[in-house]
Amino acid sequence: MVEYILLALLIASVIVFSSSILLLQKSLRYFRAVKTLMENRVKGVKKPRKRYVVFAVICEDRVLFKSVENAVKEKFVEYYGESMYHKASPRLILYDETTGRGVIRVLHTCTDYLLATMGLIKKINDKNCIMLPIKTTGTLRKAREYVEKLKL
Amino acid sequence: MGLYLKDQTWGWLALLPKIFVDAYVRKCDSRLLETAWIMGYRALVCEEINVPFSNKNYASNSSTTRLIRKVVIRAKDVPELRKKLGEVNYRKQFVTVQPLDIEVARWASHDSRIDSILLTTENIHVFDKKQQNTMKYYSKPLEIPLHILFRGDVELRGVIYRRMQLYAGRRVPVIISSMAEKWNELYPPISIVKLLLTQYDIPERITLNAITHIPWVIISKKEVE
Repeated sequence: MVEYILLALLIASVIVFSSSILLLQKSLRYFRAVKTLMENRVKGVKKPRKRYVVFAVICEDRVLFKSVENAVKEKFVEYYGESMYHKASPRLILYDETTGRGVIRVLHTCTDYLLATMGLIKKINDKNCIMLPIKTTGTLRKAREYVEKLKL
Repeated sequence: MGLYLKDQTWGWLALLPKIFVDAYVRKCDSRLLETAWIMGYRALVCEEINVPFSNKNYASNSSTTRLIRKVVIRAKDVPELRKKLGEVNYRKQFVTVQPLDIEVARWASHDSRIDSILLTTENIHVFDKKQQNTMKYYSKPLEIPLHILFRGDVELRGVIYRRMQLYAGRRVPVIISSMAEKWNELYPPISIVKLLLTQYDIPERITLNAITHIPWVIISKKEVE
């Protein structure tokens, strides 16, 4: 008789345990739903961050700031289109014409596109040139430091 | 030498640890070698070498670049290929075959004297599914020059995209080369990786292997010239 009671208790405890888990899951779902309703801010849109690409231009002759900027723009638009260019908005932040080193700022999601574009540049102002990406940093300060290091 | 190449500070740039290899350069002169070294290339496979080099290395300033001679064989049929292969010193030279016929491509896949099979716009019809299976079985690398990927007809580039997906996506070893004749026709390694990622959807790992590990394994087997 005792065995039957123990068995019945065991079955009952298993049923109670599984039902309590189910209830917990449901209550969690309700809790999350209420929490999202109470939240004021909409999540999912991340703040656009910037990346700074340190580069070097190896050229037959000295090239100007404007020429480098135009060359990057031309190749970027040719291979990835205007819409991607506007999204990435690469901007030449600094460029030393004597040493041929500089920094380009770009949207963090489009860094790959800029690095790819740099490899495609073979001429700047009808002069044989190549553009060499060296380092990608998250802050302009670090990028400046890197350019200074390269001058040494 | 160019204006900026004389600058000694470039040595600092080339402290990158990876060994990049350009598996097909048409003409190697001192300027091209200097530029390749700045970019991080430590070995070049050249069809025409215009610099004095001895004991397999070309040394200038503090840099040392390994040079290997390349032979490209264009063949329309198997007897022609066999004849041309007989004239080549495959133990010292990097042998690449450009098959113009399906039979030649199949035959080239299982010949151990051949190091790679070249894909160009002329012979793209040769590289079908069966050829992919054969190349995968014999681990024969497919060599793809970069200029056909980024220049030329849009429709043709579409065909190349599908071929790339078929071969690189199914673990056929791939080698990426520049086919450069002048120093400014070389591509920086990081740009090659990102170009193939953004334009041909090839994962970074595959492209990195294609410009480092796969050609380096072939080169390291070659005897000193």
